[in-house]
Amino acid sequence: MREFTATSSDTLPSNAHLIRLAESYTSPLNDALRAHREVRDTAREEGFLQPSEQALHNAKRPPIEMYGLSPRRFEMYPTPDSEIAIDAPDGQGRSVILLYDSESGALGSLDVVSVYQALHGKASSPEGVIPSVINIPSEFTVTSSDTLPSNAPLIHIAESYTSPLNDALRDLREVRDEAREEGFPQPSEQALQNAKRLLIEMYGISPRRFEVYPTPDSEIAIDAPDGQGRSVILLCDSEGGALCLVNMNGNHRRARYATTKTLPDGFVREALAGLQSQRTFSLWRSPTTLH
Amino acid sequence: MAVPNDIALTEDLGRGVFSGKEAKRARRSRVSSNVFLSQKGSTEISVDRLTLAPEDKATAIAGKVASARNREFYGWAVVTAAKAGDDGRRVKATPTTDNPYHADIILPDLAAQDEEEQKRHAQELADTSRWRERPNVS
Repeated sequence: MREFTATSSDTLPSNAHLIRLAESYTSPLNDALRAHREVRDTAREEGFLQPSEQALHNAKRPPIEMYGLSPRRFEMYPTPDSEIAIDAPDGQGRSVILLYDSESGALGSLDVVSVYQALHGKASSPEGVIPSVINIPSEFTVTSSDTLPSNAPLIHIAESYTSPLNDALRDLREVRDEAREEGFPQPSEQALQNAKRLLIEMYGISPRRFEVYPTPDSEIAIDAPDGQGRSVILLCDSEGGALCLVNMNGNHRRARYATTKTLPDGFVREALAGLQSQRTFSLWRSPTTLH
Repeated sequence: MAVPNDIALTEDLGRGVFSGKEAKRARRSRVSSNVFLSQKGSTEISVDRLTLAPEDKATAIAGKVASARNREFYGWAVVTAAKAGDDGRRVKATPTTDNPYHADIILPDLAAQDEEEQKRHAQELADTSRWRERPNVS
């Protein structure tokens, strides 16, 4: 385990109220920093443009400062536009996303108070908008003189068009095309509408990349695999009903619904929470070292 | 060399993937449960015995299947025979003239008339699978 060492006072943010570093090498902060180190690999895997060295440099400090303000897991990932996203979804249908552009031109920046307030669900920005993953403005830029960090060429909060939710929503928009390509019967308009609502609500419960696809039975699957042999699949059928299949390493549960109006219910919530808790447990069991 | 009929528990069994979207999903997380769904009214899921099949032959066989379907072959969703034969399922070598490495994962009889059971098995197989990309063929 490598320890953090502050070699100079100017390496620390001048206006940070509280920074807790190195509390644990398995902390959410270090998970985010690991994700930061892997941004270029992720971009390569996704076929995205590589973010610039400057974007990488600029995107490193804010998670540390933001973690000090609000200890939580920040998602960090590259975008197709060679940006680096620092994403703080709160699981309640809200998120704050900072996108670090690879260009050098400064369009704006975000002040520390705004970040703090946004993360705590209060008035968030000079515009007074807390971006919601459901009802988010298409794009807005926060400008402030009291900026964090001072050397950031560009920070803006934008619609989470590169977020896992919007990736899944894009897949949903392409479900009919995929059904056609696969020779499946087309899912109904009702299935599409139900799947859209449930996808957004399930993302609110458990922010993750849901896989969305059509099935040979004209259903739309909202699929949450955890990569550890577990998954929750909600199949929205074309008659307005649904089937929820839960697999926890071979332990199965399922629930059939004649209507989706009551969903997501306790069964679905518990299943998603089960995936989440298993994931957290795995993280603690398999700590990663810093390099 | 003759392909043995007995399938070892450690053998890798590959389900061919012929959809670009499935391949993308697999690279990102895993294949969808669609990949391991049996045909309507059937309890058999075709797989290739990848541990025994030389890579170039397995790829050529899958390529022919893809051509016959007017699709492209992208890779396999791979499960071990042990996992494939779990939860009441069986694995059986079912060589064909075109594919001596062909085998079937056979669902329990009860699943034949129960689509939810078929989906449950498909989900479990997808969850235990790992992705193997089609090798580059010159």
